[in-house]
Amino acid sequence: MATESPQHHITFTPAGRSGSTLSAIRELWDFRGYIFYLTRRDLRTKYNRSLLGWIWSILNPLVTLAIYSLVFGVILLVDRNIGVSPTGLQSFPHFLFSGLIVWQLFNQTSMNVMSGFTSAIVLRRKLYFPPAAPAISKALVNLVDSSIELLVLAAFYIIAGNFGITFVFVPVLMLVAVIFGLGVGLLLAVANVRYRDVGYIYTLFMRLFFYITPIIWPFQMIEDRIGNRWVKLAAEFNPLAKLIDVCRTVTYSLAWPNLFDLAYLAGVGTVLTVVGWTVFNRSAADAAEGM
Amino acid sequence: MSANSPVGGGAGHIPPRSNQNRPPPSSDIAISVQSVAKKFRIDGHNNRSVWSALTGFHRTNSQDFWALRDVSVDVPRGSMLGIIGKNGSGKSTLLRLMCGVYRPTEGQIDIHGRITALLELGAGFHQELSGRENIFMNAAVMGMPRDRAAEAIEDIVGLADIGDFIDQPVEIYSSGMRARLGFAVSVFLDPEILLADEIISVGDVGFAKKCFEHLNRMRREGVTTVLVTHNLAIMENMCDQVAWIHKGETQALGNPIDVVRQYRDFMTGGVNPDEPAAPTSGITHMEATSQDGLEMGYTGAPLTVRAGFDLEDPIEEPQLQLQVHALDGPIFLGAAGPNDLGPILKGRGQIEYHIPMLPVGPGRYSVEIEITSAVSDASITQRCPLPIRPAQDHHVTDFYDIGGDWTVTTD
Repeated sequence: MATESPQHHITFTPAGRSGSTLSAIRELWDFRGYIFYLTRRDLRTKYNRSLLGWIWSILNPLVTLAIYSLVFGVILLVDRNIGVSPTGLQSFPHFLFSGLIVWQLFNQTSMNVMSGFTSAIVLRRKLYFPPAAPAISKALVNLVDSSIELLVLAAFYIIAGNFGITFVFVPVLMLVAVIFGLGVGLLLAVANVRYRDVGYIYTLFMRLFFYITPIIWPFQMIEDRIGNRWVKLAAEFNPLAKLIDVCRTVTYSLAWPNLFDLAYLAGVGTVLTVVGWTVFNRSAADAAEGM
Repeated sequence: MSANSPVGGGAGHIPPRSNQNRPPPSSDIAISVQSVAKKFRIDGHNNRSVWSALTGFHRTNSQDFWALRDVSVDVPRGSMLGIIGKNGSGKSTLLRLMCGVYRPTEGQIDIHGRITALLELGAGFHQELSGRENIFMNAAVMGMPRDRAAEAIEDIVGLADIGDFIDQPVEIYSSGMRARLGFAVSVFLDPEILLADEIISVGDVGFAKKCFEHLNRMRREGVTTVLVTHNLAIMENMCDQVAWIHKGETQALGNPIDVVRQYRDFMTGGVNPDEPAAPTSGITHMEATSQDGLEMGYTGAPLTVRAGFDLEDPIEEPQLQLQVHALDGPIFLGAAGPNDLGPILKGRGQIEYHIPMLPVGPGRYSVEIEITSAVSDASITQRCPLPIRPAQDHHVTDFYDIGGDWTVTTD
């Protein structure tokens, strides 16, 4: 039979839609227009009813940076062994910014993916769309949003005269941060619908994680301060520690990243996405209805 | 109640559709629901927490609720299925299962074709976006390509008829405006399968009419439709088969006229204002059937009315009359019976009336047979419903064409 559209045949069974990952991905592609509009909606309405509007996207990271620099760099005098860049820069705010930018992006993406799924559930009972659509749209919102932060970061370094070709890696690293966030967000999103405790526990855990990840302190401290071999290994292979370290390498130190590190990040990103997607896909449709 | 429920497809009497621009069907069944059951878990308390999960405490408070049990129905391609039932009977759950918003607990649903589901008009509108922006968004989630939405935007705005509000945020819209806008988008979708839940019952009369026209157009174009509505007239006049869902189970499935009558009987506690209970004497049985044996008529097609009587008291010089009433309206048409019935009518017997061409347009009517006496006050009447649908070969669908000669002159 000749048709202009592909033959649509869907089977709904207790186990979900027929086929699995492949058909789910194809379905997401079919709904790309919807994901696009969801993303655009969030971006357009984000600063509704605010006087400064998009200026907040610049102010937010700068003020956060200023506060952290004040607390950790000036008041608490965090280890100053942050190294000197090839251009002679030794600035805690710059050092901090390079770590903070990917950390925040990961943290916010994972949170938004979770809350995006939770808040889309009411609508999902009235309108069919792939359950992952709002989650993916949230990740895209964070990605677009962060591009402004990227410009702020670049400007911050240019002013300090510490800028180079290695900065081309920053967008890649930010993409990795979003993929990490998407993976973790998808992994926890369904559980969070059933038990909101998951979200609260995750928030607290991330607060702890912020301090045990080399964000306000240099990666080198792992080597210098940790005695236990296994703890040291775990700390070094903390994917976020690696991500932040690589980001500092290409911005602060203006050096090319280690290939092994990049491969490791790509591997972790892939595993997180696949695991997160699998867990999510298995029960998201049930979570959407069973309230 | 269920003992006399006819179960079976209504495939025998589906009028053929024009089917223009549509590929030939690869399968005759567009939607196949096979032994589907749906269970919901109702929690005794709202506060879900890990604590209750760990202690298992919530299990004592929660209970299973079977919204549907063992429901099976096949919807042939191009046909229209109506689902009726009381509120909470599970009919909306069935519709949601068909569009994938819910997944079956047991059984299987096969869908052949592109679905558009209208579960709630204007669902998915974002409060802070303008009507125009929401049109694009709604179109996207309904599967309308972006360029097509852009093409249709002015027509959609026109049909929604909300004037300058179109560029205002949807949060200031009235619920009626929201429904109109949601509906307007759906009109421009090009579904193969349309699933609609109670869309006729929102909005004012004019809006309901638009919805009705739209459904009719979809039907003519060969769109497979599943409709949940409390509007029984639509069920009788438009659907090819009707499923009556009661407490999650199929109470009746099949010919719309039969199922709707059973449902109406049930809802009125067995007393049907349209159709009084058959008496043991007088006219005990009555039916009006079309050629295909269904209790209904087709415009311009043959109709047979049969009545059985059992007269304890004889009627002298009996006279027969048949009347067709528009529902709750005046006599629409009538037929006077023959004068040579003899001096007396008594005991049991049958009356049969046949007309080769029913000159009545589509709608809901009732037909009444009256036996009166020319010499006394004795009078026996009986009435039965007569839904009339457009015949497949009648060249107009809205009325019966009474013919006549036309002359047009211009000066």
